[in-house]
Amino acid sequence: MVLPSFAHAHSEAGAGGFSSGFMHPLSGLDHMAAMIAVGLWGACLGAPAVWLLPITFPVVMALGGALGIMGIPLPSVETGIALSAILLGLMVAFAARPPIWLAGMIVGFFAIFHGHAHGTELPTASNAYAYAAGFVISTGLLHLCGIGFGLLSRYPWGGIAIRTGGGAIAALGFCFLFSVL
Amino acid sequence: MIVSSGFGALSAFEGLPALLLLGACGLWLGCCRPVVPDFSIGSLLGGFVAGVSGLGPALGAPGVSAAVLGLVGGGVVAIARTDSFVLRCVYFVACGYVLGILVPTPVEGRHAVLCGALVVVAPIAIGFYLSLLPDREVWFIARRVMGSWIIAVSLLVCAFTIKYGDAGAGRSAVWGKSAERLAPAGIPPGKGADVLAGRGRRVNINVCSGNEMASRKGFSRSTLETSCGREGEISRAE
Repeated sequence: MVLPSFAHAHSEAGAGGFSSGFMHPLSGLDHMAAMIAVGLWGACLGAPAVWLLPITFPVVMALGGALGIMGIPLPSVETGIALSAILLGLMVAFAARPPIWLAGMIVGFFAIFHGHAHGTELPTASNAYAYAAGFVISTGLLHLCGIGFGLLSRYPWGGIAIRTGGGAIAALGFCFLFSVL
Repeated sequence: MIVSSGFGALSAFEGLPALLLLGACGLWLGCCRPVVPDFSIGSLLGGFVAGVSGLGPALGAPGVSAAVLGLVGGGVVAIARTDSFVLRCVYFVACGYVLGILVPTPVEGRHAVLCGALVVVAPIAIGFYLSLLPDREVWFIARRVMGSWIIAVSLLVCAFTIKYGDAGAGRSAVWGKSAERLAPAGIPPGKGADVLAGRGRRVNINVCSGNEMASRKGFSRSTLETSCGREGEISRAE
């Protein structure tokens, strides 16, 4: 509604090899926002969340991807992706510090939706290995971007910048949600 | 020419899956301390894996085995297991075996074989030396991140090959005239088949229509034409 069609990465007609897999998370703001938020939140929480969340996300995302590949339906995938951006963005914006297991569960829960979206596209790929490797690496690099942004917290003004970034991600998430609904 | 032929082996690997497996081999090797930090270990192992890889296509390893090995490799790297030498050897041999099926084109000439072997050695050696870095926090994190990425890719490919079979993994594809040549034999576009290509080498293919291929960029057409030349014949349709 508000955003153009490129906001969602899941409208491609076909998919190819590594480059397609790599570009898939980058081609939609919904994926980008959520994955950057994961890294950002991890950086805000500090060790061990800074590496535990970016590890949890791709592994659970792969499980969701496997569901998509096997044709097991998951309700409201796009809504789940939009909600992931909202919730993770709000966590960063309000500097929420839940226990590490809870943070991991939140990230893992939403990773299933992202993975399912990838997985349903994977069967059209000409090279499943390369496509899967491409989007896992791309996802990891997006986490890294978030972590890099989160390192700004070392500076006095960094905390404000990070929380503002989290708010922006949550706002984007609301836009995605409205466009889905 | 020689170098390009040799590195043709790398492109034929379709790059990353093979590199992931090889990198996992090297990382695990380095994790299993005490080891002698000697380049000969990496090169010997790489040569060994490259040699065993010739058995993959000859004996017809199932495609899903590569993904399962990736899962195991990613797991042991992520948790830095230190298993026995025998277990490691079994894993390396299995990796070499399945790597062979990831190579859809035969490498021409002994120089090219040498270059191809170097391509195999390099990721193992890189993984090996990476794992010998001092146990700082950065390396501790990097090892787990790499392991989790290998697990994630392997999980997806595992699901894909279980669902669609070996040929569905898209290690190779045929389109245009080749697809037309295969269609009368009962293989519809989008389906996979084992094809006995030139020199009696068995390769997996996907038969694709021209329109499908138009949206699939980044695929080496020359590789396909080499894999499934005019002499090729269909041995089994899936």
